[in-house]
Amino acid sequence: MRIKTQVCMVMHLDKCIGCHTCSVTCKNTWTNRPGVEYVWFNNVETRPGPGYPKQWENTDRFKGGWVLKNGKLRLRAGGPVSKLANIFYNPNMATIQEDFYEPWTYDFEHLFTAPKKDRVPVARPKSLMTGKYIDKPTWSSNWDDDLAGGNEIAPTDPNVQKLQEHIKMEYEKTFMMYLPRICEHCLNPSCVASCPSGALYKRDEDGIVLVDQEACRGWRFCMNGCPYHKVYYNWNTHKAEKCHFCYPRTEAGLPTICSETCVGRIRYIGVVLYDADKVKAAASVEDPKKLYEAQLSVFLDPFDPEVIKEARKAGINDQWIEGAQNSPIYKMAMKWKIALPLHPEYRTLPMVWYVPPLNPIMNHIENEEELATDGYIPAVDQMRIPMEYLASLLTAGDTGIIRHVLLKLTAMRVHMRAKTVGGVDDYKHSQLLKEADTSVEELEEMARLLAVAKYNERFVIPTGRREMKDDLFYQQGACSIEDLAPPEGMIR
Amino acid sequence: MAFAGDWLKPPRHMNGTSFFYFATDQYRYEAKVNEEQLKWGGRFSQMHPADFNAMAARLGWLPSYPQFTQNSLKLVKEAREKGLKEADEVAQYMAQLIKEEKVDWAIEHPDDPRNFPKVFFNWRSNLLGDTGKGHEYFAKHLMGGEDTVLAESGSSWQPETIDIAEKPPEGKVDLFVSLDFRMTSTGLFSDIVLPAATWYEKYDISSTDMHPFIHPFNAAITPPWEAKSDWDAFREISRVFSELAKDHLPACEDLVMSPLSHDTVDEIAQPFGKVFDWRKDGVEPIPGKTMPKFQIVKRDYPNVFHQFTTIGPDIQKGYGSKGVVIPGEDVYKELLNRLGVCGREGLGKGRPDLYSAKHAIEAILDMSGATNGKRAVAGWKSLEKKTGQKLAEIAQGHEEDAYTLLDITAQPRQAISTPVWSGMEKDGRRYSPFTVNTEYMIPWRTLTGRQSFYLDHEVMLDFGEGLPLYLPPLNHGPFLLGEDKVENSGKWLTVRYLTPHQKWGIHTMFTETTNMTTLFRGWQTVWINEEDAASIGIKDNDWIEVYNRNGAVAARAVVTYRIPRGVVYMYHAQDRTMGVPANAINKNRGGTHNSVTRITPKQTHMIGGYSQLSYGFNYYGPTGNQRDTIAIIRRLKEVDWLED
Amino acid sequence: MSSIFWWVILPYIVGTILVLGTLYRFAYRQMSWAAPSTEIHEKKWLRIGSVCFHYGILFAFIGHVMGILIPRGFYLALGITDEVYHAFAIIGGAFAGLLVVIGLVILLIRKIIHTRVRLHSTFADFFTVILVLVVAALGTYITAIYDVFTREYEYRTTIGPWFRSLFTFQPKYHLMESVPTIFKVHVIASFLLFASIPFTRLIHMFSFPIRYPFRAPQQYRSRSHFKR
Repeated sequence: MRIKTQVCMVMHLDKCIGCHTCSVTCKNTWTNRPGVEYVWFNNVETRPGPGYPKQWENTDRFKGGWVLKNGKLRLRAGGPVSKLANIFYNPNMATIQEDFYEPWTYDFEHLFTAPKKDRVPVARPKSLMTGKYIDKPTWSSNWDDDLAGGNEIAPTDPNVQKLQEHIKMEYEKTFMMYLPRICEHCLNPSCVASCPSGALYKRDEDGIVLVDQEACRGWRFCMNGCPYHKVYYNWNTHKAEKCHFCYPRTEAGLPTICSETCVGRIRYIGVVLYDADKVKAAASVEDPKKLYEAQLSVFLDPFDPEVIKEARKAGINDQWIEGAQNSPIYKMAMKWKIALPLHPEYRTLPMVWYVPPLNPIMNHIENEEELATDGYIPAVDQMRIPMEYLASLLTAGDTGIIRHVLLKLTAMRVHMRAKTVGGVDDYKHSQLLKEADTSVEELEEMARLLAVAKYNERFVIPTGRREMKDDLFYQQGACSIEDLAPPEGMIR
Repeated sequence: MAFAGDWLKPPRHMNGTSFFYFATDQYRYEAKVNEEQLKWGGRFSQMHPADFNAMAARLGWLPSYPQFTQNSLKLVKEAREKGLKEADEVAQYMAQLIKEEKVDWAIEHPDDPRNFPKVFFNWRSNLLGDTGKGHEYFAKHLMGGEDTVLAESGSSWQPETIDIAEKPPEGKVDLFVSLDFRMTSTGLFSDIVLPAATWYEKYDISSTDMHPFIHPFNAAITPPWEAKSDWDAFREISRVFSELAKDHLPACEDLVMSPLSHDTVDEIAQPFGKVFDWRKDGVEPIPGKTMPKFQIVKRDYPNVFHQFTTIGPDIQKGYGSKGVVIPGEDVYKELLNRLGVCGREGLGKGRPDLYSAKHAIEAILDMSGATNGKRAVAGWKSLEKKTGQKLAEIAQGHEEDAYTLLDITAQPRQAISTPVWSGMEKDGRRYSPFTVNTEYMIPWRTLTGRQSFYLDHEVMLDFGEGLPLYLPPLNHGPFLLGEDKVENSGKWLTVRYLTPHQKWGIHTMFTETTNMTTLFRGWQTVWINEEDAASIGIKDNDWIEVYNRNGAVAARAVVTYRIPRGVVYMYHAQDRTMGVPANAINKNRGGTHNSVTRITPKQTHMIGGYSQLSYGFNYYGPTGNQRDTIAIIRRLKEVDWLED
Repeated sequence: MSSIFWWVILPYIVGTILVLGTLYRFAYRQMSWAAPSTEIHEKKWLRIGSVCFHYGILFAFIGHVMGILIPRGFYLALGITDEVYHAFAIIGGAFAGLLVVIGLVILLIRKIIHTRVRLHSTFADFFTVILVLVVAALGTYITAIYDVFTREYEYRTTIGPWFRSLFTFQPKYHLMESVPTIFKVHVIASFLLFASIPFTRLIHMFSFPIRYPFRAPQQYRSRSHFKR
């Protein structure tokens, strides 16, 4: 057993209102510089839709993640030898023009300097890449917001293209959800494995995946090596940059900036314990639909005395063990199993989990007022298209798991409604409760965390471990004027 | 303190809808649109909105500025010269003059150059890029700028009692000054743009009654170059103004006409909801009863600076709003302590100092019940007297709370419950209106003291709206008969045009930063159903224009199946300063979302002097509804930036 | 005297600049050490240009090793005659040279014509591409034209020994005196190029990730182990 700790996140999609506050605060904090205008460590996608970058889920095109070849785990884009052969040109890499977008601003200066004229002046759109005027923007990080573009754009969603049944996109049948995305900080990150320079690494103490800016040589295999397309190329510094889970904040016990500012309070952060020795086997399970269960088997029960003993041996302190015990992620993803990993079929064992949204389904129920508890079961079942769609996103196509989570969430709603305003029938003996395989106690615990939990319950983040090897006393007050002197001082 | 209430009362308050309806000559382009409803009544519902508004002014229902074609300073002077000493006598004299038609109502002569708003001061509002409904009428008549008004007064419904010049005036404003740190269209139309400090360069406070917090603004840096905070800008203007006034505008008396107002005894001035027009219904014009009130205000122009920079004596008489009065003696003493004593020679010497924005903030925090527990309790006690109910306990436990700027800087504080602010109700319950009415038996502010569903005012009945009523959207075309002269060779579609609040802000709030302008598709865009779009050859992101008799706007199409057919959405306030080419109609700059709209006044909003149907500043009065706009959408074949 | 400057002093100055400059950049300017790809702006032409150039230059490098570093005697000992060597060198060299030149011309045109690539290229970038192009064009000319049509010059008895002697600090500069001018220009231009390496994008040639195939796919690092 090789115990490691991982800081991770759950997003409860039912609560996402698509306001993009996470994206904007993240951008203002981390990527408001030349070279990364097109970079959104955090973005929010309207689904169905192609996402950002365009069709990032198209693994035939970008060749991200892992595949199983003869029972062995291999990078889809090819291993080290083929990467070195392709090092002068990466055939699978996205470009700003085609897959991202040409960032732009407006020529505000002109409003001040325009000569006197009959017509009011206007600030024309101007490319941030070339400084030249553009006639009109043609794509952005959120071009298809709220199904903008309709049938010209929404059906290009790779998940939609995978659906067995052709869905007709029209006003009366509209279904829509938001998908906020950050780096998954995977347990088996393919970006790390794709990096020829070894600049990408997973931090031992919290599992955050980082790019060593000094070691990065700009080979760019990480960009498309990540199946979530969450590693970006800074065209100004020629180095890779990515979401770093706001580690300067999490080290101080604070949530990431996207979570801190989330208006719908959809985000939860906590730590989990896992066995690093089991990662490879879990990622190598044959059937993609079994990957979710395999991933769950990697995590360790933080209440198990054996685990606690081993964790202490591995240098994990009590605060982190306690953090793992109180972790909202552990509750939602591992205990209640209502949070699911995004595209487990990529075999990276992603660590940002999603509670699937019930709203696209519930919005189609017309007679909810009269619906008896068990009436919800066929209601959930009838919504085939959204369910298959969610399965394509979250369970490698296994609608059974999605159905189970949705029934559980439905049961929670029905129960809580019955508790506050009185129910239509006796839910305690209902088929719904049985099929959802849950208990009243669990539902109430869930309702508390999903609906009323305050800051300290949603974010359980032990502060960064500082008992490690650094000579902190000697380093106190040291500043990082790195060009002039090493920040650690001279005594090593 | 607001509107200099600590020095003189009443202020000259005007409701914006009526003001701009007349100032921008939109009343010339009225259309009879609601034929079906017109069949019900007749006496009022057949009246042209401008005629109705003039009547509302004359009966004291609504404020009306400018007041008269004649100068109000001179009117008082003449009255005094006639030997009238008491304010009552002057008011009577005014009523007589009006009755004998010796003075003219400015509202009935909007085209008389003496009634033009010649100097216009625009403070932190994007009047000419966003909020002004009927933008092209603003451009044409108020500003005299480029416009795309396609309506014609000849084919429109004309009022009867309004004196209309044959040739509509254009460019009524001589001097337009903007004080607004945002780069909006309004700045482009202004003669003078004052450099304004932003949120991060000044001290300020903010709150709304929709949430419980009082927020501070703290200067991170000093205002760069010549920029000044709003407070400093106005103070410096007052300083120069006072100096000039010494020679040019000595102290004098002014006549202020104010409407029958909300939460005062005026609410029962015109009982039983009967309308008696003194001009034709045989009743006498009695100030404060059948017509507006007339009051004399002493204008001390050379001392405006001192009045601006100190707290005036009238605070001691008590202050408040919505009929709630807080005793002011102790407050004044506290303010002397908290703000310090003014040492500047002149009128303000020895009074609480109000020189800087920080002074003003402290004064507000001290005087408001929302931030000072003593005031909250005093407010509830005042309401106790009115209602006979025990209410002071609502703010109990907060008596000792007195937030300072430093307190709210350390952390935004939650407001204390007061009778006039709904941000926080009792027990930390946020914005739950009317709960105290139920729990503490506080009568609703209605005629019956209960929630009112039936409104028996004659005008309401005449419109058939005595009870809540569903009215279908107005059914009319984009042009009146004979108006549409737009050459149209290609395909086009008539649609309902809506301008909802956008997803990422209300009005222009925060959405002009690069991240926000580029988060979606850049400015400006109009949403349209994809089947509608296809039927007229519009593809996603194509340039389009939307136009009707009110004007035209150029934008790009966002096609989707998410909105129903027959409707287009143009989100609020995208502002024509960014990425807007020329329209094809007259090659003018493509307009704003309000270029296609017009103020559609609703007469029933103008009722006054009858219980809850009484005018209150920023509280009750007519709105400039623009929801029933019908427009034509078509492809914009070529893009002309009108630059180069 | 001038031959001492060109064939003794200049090589050692260049060598010093190359070694010290690279060490300086490694120690203090790591952040700027990257293969400054513009693939994110443009892919189509890069695909041809970059692949041609890089593979060409790899072949050319091997060719130079074979021609300059490995002595003539080595080939003779193996039984490879001068005729066989030269035939092989001319065909191989011309192929590699043409790849490099074609690749560079494509890259240069792309750099000039494609707006975003041009705007994101510095003076150093243009300087580098043009200088490499000059060196490569001379080399290709020597191999494919001069050696074929003018005369087959045996550089393995002059340039080769001289270059090797630089490393033993006994520079045999007089060997260079009889060398045809076109060869001299190629050599001097190459040395200018070598001197520019620490200051330009060329630095990325030293970071070819040769260790990549041998390391574990997953990399764990601890915060406190970093830089220790």
